[in-house]
Amino acid sequence: MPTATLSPPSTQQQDLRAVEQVRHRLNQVLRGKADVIDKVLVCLLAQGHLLVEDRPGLGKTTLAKGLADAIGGRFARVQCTPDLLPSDITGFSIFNQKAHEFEFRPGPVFSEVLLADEINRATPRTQSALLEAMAERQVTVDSIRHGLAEQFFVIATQNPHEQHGTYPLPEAQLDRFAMKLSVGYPHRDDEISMLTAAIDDSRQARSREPLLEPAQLVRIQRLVAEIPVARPIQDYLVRLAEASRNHPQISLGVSPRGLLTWQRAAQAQAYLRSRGFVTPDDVQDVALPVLIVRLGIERDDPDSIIRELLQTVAVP
Amino acid sequence: MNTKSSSAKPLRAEILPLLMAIVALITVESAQYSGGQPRWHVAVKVGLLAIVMVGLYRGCSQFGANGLHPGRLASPLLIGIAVLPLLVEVLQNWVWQTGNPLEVLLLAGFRNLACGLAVLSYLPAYNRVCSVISLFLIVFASCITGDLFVQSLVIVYALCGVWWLMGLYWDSLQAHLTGSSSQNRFPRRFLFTIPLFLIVLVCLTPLAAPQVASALPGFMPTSGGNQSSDPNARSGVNDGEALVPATDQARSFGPVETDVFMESEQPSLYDIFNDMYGEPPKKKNTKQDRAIALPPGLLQHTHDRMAQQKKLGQQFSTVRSTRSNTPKKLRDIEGTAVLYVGGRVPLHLRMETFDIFDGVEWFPESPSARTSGLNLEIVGAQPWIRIDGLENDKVSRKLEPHQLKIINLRTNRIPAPLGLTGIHIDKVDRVDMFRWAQESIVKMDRERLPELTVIHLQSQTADARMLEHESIRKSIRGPQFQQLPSQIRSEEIRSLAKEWVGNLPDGWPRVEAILAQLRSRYLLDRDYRPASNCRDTVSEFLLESKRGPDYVFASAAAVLLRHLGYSTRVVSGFYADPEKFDRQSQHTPVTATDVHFWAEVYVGQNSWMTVEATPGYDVLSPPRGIWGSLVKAVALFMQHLRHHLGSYSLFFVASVVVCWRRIEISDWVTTLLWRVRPIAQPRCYVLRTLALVKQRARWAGIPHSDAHTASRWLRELSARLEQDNLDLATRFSHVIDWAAYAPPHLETPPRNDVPVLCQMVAKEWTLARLRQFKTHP
Repeated sequence: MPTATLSPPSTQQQDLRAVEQVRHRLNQVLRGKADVIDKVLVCLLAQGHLLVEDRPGLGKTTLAKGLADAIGGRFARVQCTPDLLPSDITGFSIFNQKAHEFEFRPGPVFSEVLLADEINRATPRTQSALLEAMAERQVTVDSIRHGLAEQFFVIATQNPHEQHGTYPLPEAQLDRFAMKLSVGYPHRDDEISMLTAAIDDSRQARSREPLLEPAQLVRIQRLVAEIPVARPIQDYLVRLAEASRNHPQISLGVSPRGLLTWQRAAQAQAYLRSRGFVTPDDVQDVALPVLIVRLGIERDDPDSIIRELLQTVAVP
Repeated sequence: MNTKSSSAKPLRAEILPLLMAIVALITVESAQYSGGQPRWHVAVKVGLLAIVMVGLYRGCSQFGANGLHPGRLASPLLIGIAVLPLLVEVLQNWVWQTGNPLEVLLLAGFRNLACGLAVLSYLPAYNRVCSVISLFLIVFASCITGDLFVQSLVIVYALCGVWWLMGLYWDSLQAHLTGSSSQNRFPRRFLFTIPLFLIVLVCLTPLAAPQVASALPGFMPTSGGNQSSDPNARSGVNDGEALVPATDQARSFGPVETDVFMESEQPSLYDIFNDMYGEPPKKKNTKQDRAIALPPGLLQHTHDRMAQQKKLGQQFSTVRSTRSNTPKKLRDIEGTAVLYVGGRVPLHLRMETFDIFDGVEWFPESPSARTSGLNLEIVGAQPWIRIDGLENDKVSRKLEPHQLKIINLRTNRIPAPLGLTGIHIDKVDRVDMFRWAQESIVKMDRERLPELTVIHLQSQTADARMLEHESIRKSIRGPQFQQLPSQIRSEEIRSLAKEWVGNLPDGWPRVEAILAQLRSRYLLDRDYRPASNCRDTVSEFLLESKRGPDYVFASAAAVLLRHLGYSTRVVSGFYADPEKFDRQSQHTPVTATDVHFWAEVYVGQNSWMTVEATPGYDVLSPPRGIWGSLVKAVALFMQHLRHHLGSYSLFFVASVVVCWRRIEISDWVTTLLWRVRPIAQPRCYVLRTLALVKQRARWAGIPHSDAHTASRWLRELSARLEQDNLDLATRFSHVIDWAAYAPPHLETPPRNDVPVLCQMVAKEWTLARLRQFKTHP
């Protein structure tokens, strides 16, 4: 019989334990950023894609690689530049003279975790090549559709301070991302801990053993999608979305696709808290990273606008 | 309060129904105005109501802009204010035994409903319903009156309505063009439930009281015709208690203006006097000749005048036989009004004045030789007979309107208050229809006043306060008004009068002193009669019995004042008693038992003042303005307060204690209600406990914000104190989340006995503990 907490059979307990291990591993990789790692896990379990906007050297790539190691999938990295072509991401077909036929050479999207570094330096043409992959988990090359891994997960980064030679992501592409996060500088104690850990890591090789099997991740993602959301919570989500659309300082409110993503992220948050249903706390906790990537906010401090939005709508 | 999203509407569509409802409110109140109270009462009432409506409208619309709407609370509230007049009516019937016609109550219900809908008209769902209800009110009000002001309000309403319909049309056009449609319309479920309710009501009616079923065909209860009678009904065909204007074949009397006249066999005024006071004993002619100390030639003059006055001009003896136990004709009209008085009361309606007193009998004042002084004036197409020569700047203030509705008064004299300045009878526009009966009393030039006639009177109310510093003793009127009987004990009466007035200055203070002594020291005893051979009734009353009927009081006052040098006379007539004022019909019935005697004192410039010496009778004071009404109300309230000082003190102390400890008392009551309610479903129990904690936190000054989840709020709150509370908060917040948001099939969270946990929370997070939370940063 179902209960209020996720404590069914051993399979689910194992899944929860595995997710907890992933969280622990990522906390080792990126110290002092537990909240960021929680959001990354939420994004992963919600089958969304992540946009990380921050300065260089703050651990974006480290986080992506650590996540790829932990979930046991293939990891691919694309360094986006203006001369990057779509086929450099999706793959291309070449003629096999022996077999007298074209062979498809898969690109980096055919991996479980794709790190698109400095995505805003790629041309819009190349950026749009990612659209189909991110939205539909498939790519079409030479009119032939190629399916991607079910747990395909994109972590894109962009540097907010470099404006020259960049191509800002269009709203359509931004809406494909589930969340946007900023890693930020670690705390002083965390930096000392990081330095100490660096010495220890040089003495003993860090474990890169996968903690989640691909099939296990898919199972968890399906379980997350099935977590019930009460009608008042859905009403709360819709009211928040309406408030974002009617807000005078928001030019682009939450789209229905964004609303679906928000609900799924709240479900993932509830799963990470070992709860079998969604509460308004879950909705509020994931609101900032979910909304900040897709709202057209005309002010420099979008965080405060989103907090204000949450304050104006009554909780059911 | 439920929460819904607000939808912005154009200002015109929102504000116009409110404006239309206010116009409808003013129209209804104006149409219902019957003249029983000053117009400014109605204006103040409507103004206050309109201010309250606008204020509530603004408040509610601001709450609505923040997403707070009345939701499901609105319908019960609207129904509540609609049926409120019916509930008040029940209370009114029970406490004061008064009532209102059903149609008035229904109209008040619709009016309340329109006001409530107007407050909520910022919501599209109520916007149109409000306009429909206000339209009904306007139509109803315009049907029941043809008043010009009401008709002009109807035009204003029509203009607003046209503007509002234009706005609606453009809104719908815009909605069609943009492909959007309004989501908040009148709930469709009402389209089914209301007709269903009406059908059920009609089907159940035969099971109810037969009166209901019989009244249903006319929708309103009647005062007859269907073997039922409603004492509050305003229309009907039977002889109900209500006063109904006769239109064709009148079968009952009513103090209303109508063209229908009827014959009546009711007793005349002097039959009433004799039945009230008893008949005078038969006198010997020799005694009568001796008793009257009249100036030469006056006695014959008096007889001439009596012959002219027919029945009404009889002399009045203050010595009378004991009243018969079985009144002759009055049995038939006992409790039935002789006439009705509209306007302010108490009112002294003068019928005859007496000037000469022989110690036993008063003789009527000489008939007036005046032939002029009555002029016709057309005021608003209505003929008014103006009476000249009665103005006195010293005693007169505002003009006072009254209406007399004659039922069965057999006299041609018009009962009128002192200071009469104008008479209006519908369709009577000939001055020669009126004559002077006595110098200050007007009669109609016919056998008797037409019955069922409405007589409008205008008089100047005397203000005694303006006389306090005036000397009225010098205002000599004439010898007959200062005449004293020869056989009375003048010296004793004069010394008594001087003793009572003491060192008071000459003038009105002395008059007041005499009246005050008479009213306080002497007893009104209508059945007391002096010995039949008594030749000095005033001395007997003042010095020996100290009790008697009202005519003896009037005689004593007149004689005492004459001993002090004032000109006085005695007046007979009717007294409109304010205690008999009928709030429902806004009239005061004057019955046969209201015949009365009083005195008048001359104050100069051909003016007299009513002086009332009989205890229990009052003189009409000048009309008060707003300030005067307030002062009077405060004075009455203070008087009431003094009489109930103990009860009010107790109530005040209890109120202070309740106000001082109101939060603790409210908490105790709320906790008691939480405890006594049975533990139903665990989820409900959790939510009720959460509501209890929220209420306590609100009282403690740390309210829960609507934008915060309850579980997070509790955790943040308890984190300020010790670990135990944090654990309890964590456990309880998990249970709250489960109760509020978990699907129905999910069981209780493990390791949490919900009832025990809720009781722990209620016990731990008391009001005092939550106040400690507030003091912690």
